[in-house]
Amino acid sequence: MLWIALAAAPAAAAESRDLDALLAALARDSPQSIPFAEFHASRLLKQELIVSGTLEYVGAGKLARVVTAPYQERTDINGDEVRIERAGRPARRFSLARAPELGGLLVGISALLSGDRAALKREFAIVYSAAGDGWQLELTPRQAAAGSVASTLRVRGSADVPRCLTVLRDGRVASELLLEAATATDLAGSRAIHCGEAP
Amino acid sequence: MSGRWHSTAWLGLWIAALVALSVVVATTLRVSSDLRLFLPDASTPAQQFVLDGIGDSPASRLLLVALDGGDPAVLAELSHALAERLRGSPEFRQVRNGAEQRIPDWVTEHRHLLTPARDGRPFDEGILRDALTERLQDLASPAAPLLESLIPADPTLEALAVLESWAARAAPRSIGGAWFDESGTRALLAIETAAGGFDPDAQARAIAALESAFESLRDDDDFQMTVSGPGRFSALMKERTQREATVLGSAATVALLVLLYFAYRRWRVLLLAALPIASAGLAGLAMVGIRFGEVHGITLAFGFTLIGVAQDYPLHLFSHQHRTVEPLATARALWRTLATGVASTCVAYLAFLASGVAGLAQLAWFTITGLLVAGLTTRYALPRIMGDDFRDAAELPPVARLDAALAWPALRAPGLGGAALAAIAILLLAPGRFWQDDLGALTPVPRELLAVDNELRHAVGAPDARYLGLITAATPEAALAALEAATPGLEAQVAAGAISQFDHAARYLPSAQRQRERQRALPAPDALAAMLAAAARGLPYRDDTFTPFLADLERARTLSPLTLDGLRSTTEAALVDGLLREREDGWAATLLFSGVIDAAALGSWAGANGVTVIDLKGESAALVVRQRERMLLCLAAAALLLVAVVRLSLGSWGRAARVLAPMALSTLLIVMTLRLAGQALDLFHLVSLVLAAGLGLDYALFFEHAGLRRPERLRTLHGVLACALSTLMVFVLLSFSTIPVLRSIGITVALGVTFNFLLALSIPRSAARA
Repeated sequence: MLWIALAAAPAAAAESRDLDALLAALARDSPQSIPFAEFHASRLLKQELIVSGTLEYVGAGKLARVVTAPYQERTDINGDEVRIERAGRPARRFSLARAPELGGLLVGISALLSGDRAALKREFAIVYSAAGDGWQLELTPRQAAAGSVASTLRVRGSADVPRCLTVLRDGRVASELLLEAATATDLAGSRAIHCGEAP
Repeated sequence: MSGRWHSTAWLGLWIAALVALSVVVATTLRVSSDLRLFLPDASTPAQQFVLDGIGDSPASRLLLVALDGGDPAVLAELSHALAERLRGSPEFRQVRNGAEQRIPDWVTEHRHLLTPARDGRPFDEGILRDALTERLQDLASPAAPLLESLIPADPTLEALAVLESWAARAAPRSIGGAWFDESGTRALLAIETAAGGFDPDAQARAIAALESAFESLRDDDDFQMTVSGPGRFSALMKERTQREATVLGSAATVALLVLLYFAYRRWRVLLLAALPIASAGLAGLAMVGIRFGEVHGITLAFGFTLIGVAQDYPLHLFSHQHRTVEPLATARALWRTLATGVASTCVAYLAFLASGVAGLAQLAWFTITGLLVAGLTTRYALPRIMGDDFRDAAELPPVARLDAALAWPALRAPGLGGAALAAIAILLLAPGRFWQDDLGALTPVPRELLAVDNELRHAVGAPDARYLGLITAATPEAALAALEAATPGLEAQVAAGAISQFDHAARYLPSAQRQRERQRALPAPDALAAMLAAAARGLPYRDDTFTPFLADLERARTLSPLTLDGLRSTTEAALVDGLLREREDGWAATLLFSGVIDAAALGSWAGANGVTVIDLKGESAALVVRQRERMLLCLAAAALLLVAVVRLSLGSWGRAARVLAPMALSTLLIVMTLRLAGQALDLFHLVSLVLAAGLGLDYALFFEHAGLRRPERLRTLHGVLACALSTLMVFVLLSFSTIPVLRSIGITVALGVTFNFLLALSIPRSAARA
């Protein structure tokens, strides 16, 4: 409900804290380990896929996404390189420069946590809105690689904590990352609260 | 009056002949720059392979490019932009910079025939179930956007398996999707040129295209591009040789003109002295043109060096000319001596004809024709136009003073023998290698550039430049099948640690037989549909998701196998170019090895499996040795012929020995001096020794001819001195060259002129004593 109100009155409501202050508050100096749950939709699938695990933020540009359920998988982002490894399989490597759409959620969260505001503003066009404790950032990459699908990253949070990251591709929710979601029992409820209306 | 008219007519006739010859040469002769012309012919299949491969192997076409001077991310962008630009250029066959490979359409089309993943593991429910489960994980991973579109037609990702099987070589570090060195400061590209590595002109064009692409893309002067590889070196070598030859040649010409004026004080001499040598050069070129249709750049360079001996012929004539005799009479008086010199030098160059090296044979035809023409024109044409008003060298006080100062005592047999024995002892005992067997040592490429090349080659993971495997077969299909048969053994060699990687054509193009086997293992449509339905049970895929997979697999069952011609018509033709080549007697498939650790183990495996392992370094050394041995044999035969010519001409063994002894001793002294200076002898030293011997023989013949008769002796001294000084100047200049080949020649001939002149001075007194 809250987000519908926000969307109706974006800029004017953003009085409470300016963008720079928010970005500064989101930055983390020390390594972080953040539990997450991620929802993926695909045109190939009848229903969403849900995975959970922890995000290990090591420092500037270094982030690991460790999936623990329903299977084990580890993704490392190191600067420009993405490396995905599953038990018993050779690692796959990708370069973000050549396929920026792969970074999506991880690049966004890594950029927010590293607190490099100049880089963030250089890479993305940012639309910021806030109401009370809650806030929303819409990050649109300034340079989409040729042929890649245009996607927008939406970040919602409260106070100094990002709660939900959504990748919107062609206006549809492609994937959604729910942070600090500790348990699966109230996953749907917590997603509704932090990410807004379920797609 | 009529004499003047005659000489003008002769001069006109001569110049007209030269012009006509130039027209013939300019219209018939092409200049080639293929270095292979100067390599010996092969005696074994391995050597033949080495020779075929030189300049044509993928390794020789490889240019390594490093970009630095900026932020890695920016360099990566520059690398991609440069690669993109070069891919559209006809100078380059393949440009690799680490960018992810797009899956080529022909791979997608033939994936079920090309993939090694299904060998021994044909489609069944279990395999499909595993694949579908894994694809679900992919769809929930950051790779989803890349893979989602592939999954419906290729749920087992066979096309990616094909690409991954190609990319087995260790790839360099990647930043921004571009290759970088370990330090992450230099972006790396591996570029294969369309032209062979030893075609310096085409390589220079390719490098110019590369540089102009780089210049148009770089927006910051801090960016630097380093280009390395055989092609770069051959272009550099050619440019440098040309520049040095021009500079040294101009300096030598000026010095020669000054010396000629100083010696004869007649301006006309400068033109007259040039006529026989110009005729020699043009006639030599015309002969090579008629005989071969093309002349190698090296033949030109060497040839004009070697016919430099003909520059001496007119000088002897001028030095003996004085007012009291007709020039024709002077020429007639000198002719026997001059002709002996010409004939014996030509005989020595006959050795090159038998050397088995095409380039040297060209050189022999060029030189022999040139020397004959120079000798004959000096005898029959030059006297008719030179005029008779020359200063008598016998009446020049400086010559007389020099004659007195240089009145060497006669050389006696014991002294000569002792000196020769001492020289032989020293040249045998001096430390260091006697022969230079390493072709690489002759490269004019500065060491620091070679070091950079080595480093880049290593960083890009380019294959070992030393060891190669070879399989020959009657057809491409048989060659590919043989490669496939060898593959399990090669994998065992990798597992055992003998080599770290290998590569061959069948990795990219399986044999038709292998493709048909894979085709036969594909399930029938109904069976596959049932397997797929069972495998997808309980998974959240939409029901029609894999319809494209079923359709593609059915099509694959009747697809014609991919052929060599089919692959060659794609943009990835370069994958097998150079790895599979047609030869006169069939097809040759190359095996590339990286990181050869245990060459002996590799060799014994290869010997038992019909694979020839070629040690390029060893084979090229063997080629050099073989070439040298033939050359030495030819030179020995030439020396005997030369002795016979001199003996025949002089009429007695005593006179022949007097003439030949200083030349022989000089040759020993040259070799001794080179050995003391730590020089290992190479082919170019041998060629130069022949030239030095030819010069020395002329000096000796003229001194011997003059004997102690005073006016003759002084005129001869004047002539020989003019010859020796002019030759010495030219070759001392050459010895300052930075190019090893030119320096070898320069030093050897300069030493030869000095020793031969000094030793020949003793001949008149030896003759008198006898």
